[in-house]
Amino acid sequence: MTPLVDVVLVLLIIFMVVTPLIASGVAVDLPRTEHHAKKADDGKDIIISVTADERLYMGLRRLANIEELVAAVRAEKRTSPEKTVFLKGDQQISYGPIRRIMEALHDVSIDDIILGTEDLTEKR
Amino acid sequence: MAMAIGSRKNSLRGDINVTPLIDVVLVLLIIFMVLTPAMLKHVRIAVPDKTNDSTPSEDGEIPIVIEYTARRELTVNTEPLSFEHLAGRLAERLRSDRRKVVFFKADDDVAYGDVVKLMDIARGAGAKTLAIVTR
Repeated sequence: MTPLVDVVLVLLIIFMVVTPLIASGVAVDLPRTEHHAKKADDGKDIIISVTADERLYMGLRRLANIEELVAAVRAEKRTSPEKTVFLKGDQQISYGPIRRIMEALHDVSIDDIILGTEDLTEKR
Repeated sequence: MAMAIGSRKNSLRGDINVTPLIDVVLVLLIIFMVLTPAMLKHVRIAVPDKTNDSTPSEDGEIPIVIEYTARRELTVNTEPLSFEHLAGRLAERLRSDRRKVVFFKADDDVAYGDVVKLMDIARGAGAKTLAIVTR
């Protein structure tokens, strides 16, 4: 009985830890900050990820260019307007693509964007 | 889990029942393991309309604009500064600023990480709203 309980508990813990990581989009090397705000990952964000090789993702869906990304975000916003845009950019990329995404979103009147960061003290 | 099954009915049981304790500890462990990675750290950014760029607001306050060029030159309202002095200078300016808005204008070629670092410094210096200057 006891080994079974052990295995089940370990599995439970693994799944509970991994699930929010999957939900928050593609893994990118986020910029480190000290004075950030924190909020729970409630799944109510539209997560845009920009990887080090400048590939764009919304959630886990790969998008070819900014136009497609904006169209996808708009469609998502139409079905659930309470969602906020959470932009995860790799710290190695240049500012240009991030600025273009923010401006493209601004053009469709999304002008409140959350930039994802990582704790300065946290080692990975 | 562990239970003493009545082989020695007459003797007194001297051990403490730890099962409820283990239950509570495990539940707490699970709660913390789930909550810690789920906290998303973030910096909120506003993208205002182009008209807001460098134009004084109704109350005559000059907005604070941080510029960062591709040649790693940092200026605050055209006054050149180094990264180390930025926090002090900004804190000084923000103390007399009622809206506490800081605008950012960075070249496309600078690293995104550096721009976020500037935003972090501004937030640390007391800025309430961080905004992007659009082109």
